[in-house]
Order: sequence, then C-alpha cells, then structure tokens
Amino acid sequence: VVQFYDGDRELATSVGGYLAGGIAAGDSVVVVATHPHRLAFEAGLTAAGAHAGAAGASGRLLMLDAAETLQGFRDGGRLDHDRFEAALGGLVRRVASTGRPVRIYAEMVALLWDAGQVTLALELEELWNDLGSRYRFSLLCGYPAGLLADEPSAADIEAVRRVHTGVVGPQPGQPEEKISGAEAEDVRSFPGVREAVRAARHFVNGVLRPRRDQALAQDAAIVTAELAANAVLHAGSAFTVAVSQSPAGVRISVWDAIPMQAADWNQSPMTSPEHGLGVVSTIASRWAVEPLPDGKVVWAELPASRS
Amino acid sequence: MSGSRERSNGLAVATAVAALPVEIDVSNADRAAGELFAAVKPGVRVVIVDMTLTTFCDSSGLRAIAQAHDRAQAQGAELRLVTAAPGVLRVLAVTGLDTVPVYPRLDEALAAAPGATGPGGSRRRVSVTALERVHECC
Repeated sequence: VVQFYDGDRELATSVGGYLAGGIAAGDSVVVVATHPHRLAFEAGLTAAGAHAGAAGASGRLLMLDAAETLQGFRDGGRLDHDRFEAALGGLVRRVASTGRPVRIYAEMVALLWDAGQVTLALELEELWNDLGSRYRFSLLCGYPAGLLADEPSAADIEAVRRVHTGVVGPQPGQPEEKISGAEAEDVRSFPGVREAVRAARHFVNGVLRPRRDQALAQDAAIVTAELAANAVLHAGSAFTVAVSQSPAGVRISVWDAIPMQAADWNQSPMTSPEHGLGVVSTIASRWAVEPLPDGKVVWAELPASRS
Repeated sequence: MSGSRERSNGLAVATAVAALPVEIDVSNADRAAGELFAAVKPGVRVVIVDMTLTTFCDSSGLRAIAQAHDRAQAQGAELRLVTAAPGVLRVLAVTGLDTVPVYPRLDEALAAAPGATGPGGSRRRVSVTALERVHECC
C-alpha cells in the first residue's frame, strides 16, 4: 500500500486512521517515522480515541525514528542488508510472533527519496519486498507526493482507489477507508526512471512468492516489466503498480499520469513488439487499457497454474 | 557483464561469446546490445549469447538479441543462445524467438559444429528438447 501526501496535516489524518484502525482491531502496529510525524500521529491517535500510551505500554504500538533506524543499516552510500535483516527483520519477526496481524507505516524510503538517493531508495524497497515475502504484514509507505516527477493526480488516485481498495489517502469529509492488511492487494508507486522498472518487477515477485506458482510468477514478471517499461519509456511517467490476487489468478495494473492517446485505442501499436505489449497480449488471459481522469491504467490478468 | 571473448576450435571457426547479466530489462538492455553487437565482428562465424547467469530477460533484451541475430546472419554467422532458465525460455517461446538455436549449457554451444541445427536451422523452431533430438539424429 502506498501513501501519497502533500502536507503533514493530511498525512496525520490518513496515516492516523490507518494506525488507529490497527490499534482498534487489536493489530500490532509499528511506526517508523520522523519525529514531527510521530508527534502528529500520537496526537491523532489520542484524538481518535485510541490510547497510544496504553497500546505502547502493552507492546502493541511501537514508534521508531525513521532517520535513526535508517542510519542503523545505512553505511554511507550503501545499505547493509545483514543489518537491515537484524534490525527490521528481527523486529517484524518478534512482532509477528505474537500472532496478531501486523501493520507497519514507514518513511525511510521517503527519506532516501528526499535525499536524492534514488538507488538506495529502490534498494530499500527491495529489502521490504523480501521481508514481505517472508512475513505477513501490511506495509504503508509514505511518499511525499512532490518527489514523484509526474505524480498521479488526485483524480487518478481516486479513480484507482475505487478499483484497488488497498490504497488509502486523505479523503476530506469522508470516513477513513478501512484497510484490512490481509486483503490480497498490494500497491506501490515508482518514479519514472528505468531502474524503477526492475524495482517494480521485484516488488511483484515478492508479493507473489508465497504462492509458489513458478509459472505464474514468471509471467507476472514479464507482464510487470513490459507494462512498467511502457510507462517509463513511452509515457515518461512515474507509475504505480497494483497486484490483486485471488486463488484463480492475479491481476497486475500499472497506471501513469499520461492521458490515453488515440493510438492506445488501436490494436496495432499496443500489440506490436515495439511496445512490449505484444508479449503482454500473448501471455495475459485478459488485458485492457482504460482511461483515468488524468492518466491511464493498463492491466493484465494471469491465471494461476493448475496444480 | 563480462566482455565478449573469442575462441577458435579445431575447425578454425572464430567463435565469439558474449555473456549477458543476471537480469536484462530497459535499465540495461542498451548495454547488453552493445556487448552483443561487439561480438558480431567480421570473421566471426559463431556468436554465442551466453545467458547462463540470466534469470530474466524482457522484450527490450530480446530485441537486442534479435538484432544481433540479424546482423550475424547478414555476415553469414550463426547465433546461438545458452540458457536453461525457465523464465528466459518462457519469454523466448512467447516472442517466437525460440527459432534461434538454444543450448542448455555453454560447453554444448561451443562444441556444436557450425550449422549443427541443420540447413535453415536458425529459422526452425528449436526448443531444448527438440535440440536434443537434433543431436541424436546428427
């Protein structure tokens, strides 16, 4: 799940809802955020009637400093995977061992984006993905919206949210959207750079790894690579990837901020190998390009292997 | 990515081997194409695309291979792929590029005689299993 935010107030409202929902449901909640954001969340939780102090005392709410935690496994220009595993892996294992669902909100990737450390930010995404393939938890990542070069517009996010209920965001005047971490829906945003295509594929790999369906995972990797490459190369856009799962199969959606063009309607350009979408149309059982208010979404469905 | 290296076997056929990386997608396909094109040099009769380490290759990587294949053919050279990775074989099948001879191991690709897949072999659909049959009959 990905969280776009422009202002801290919006952030406190929407992330606060995610956290309060977790506490109310009896989940274990972990927050890895900047100091001002932690203060805002605590205030928000109290206002929402969720007693942060009590949850903290019972070990169900853990607040960590994002910069400090990041520093624990960042070694200058690189990330120490062993130290990440020891710190975050150990934490997730410990929290998950209670048997309660785990909800995590983290801002470390956002800090790296903020510092212009694109490679490290993508690498950290991968570390989370790997962790996510080994432990069941719901992860909400904060991304200051301004960091995404062609950020999805509010209307797009809204339109996609209707399809992908896993996305939370500020919704003034509306009750907070309920997130259930166990829903088979994973969403992640990526910047419009070529390296992000690989990160997106690894993200999908991580999401699907627990299914142990190698043929499906292979096809999902191919589809993700082609759809993400299409967003980056042809639309030059930041993009968001959503993976919806059911026992019958997987739907991979990639949406970007570039409006659908007339060419997208015609079959030929979309199925030409030049776009890589020819591959997608061959592999997918169903696929389509659909317009969004300020962009478009391309999705493809892949059936599960018969076992 | 290691560079291409040239070998000569007993038949004095110049062979160039271009090794490709673990993952090939739009972030590094241009570099892979550079390696491949560098291997298709005048005088080279067999170009081996060594994908032994490669677990993933997208359409941009395959496009580079297809272009290298065309260049090789244009100068009368033969292009061979080395891969046994299910993910790579899958994308080859999907794109129809499995008409290029595929060997499961580098030593087999090196050992095969020129034109081992027979006349017009490069236009024939050759899967790993089909290739084994070809070896049996030749």
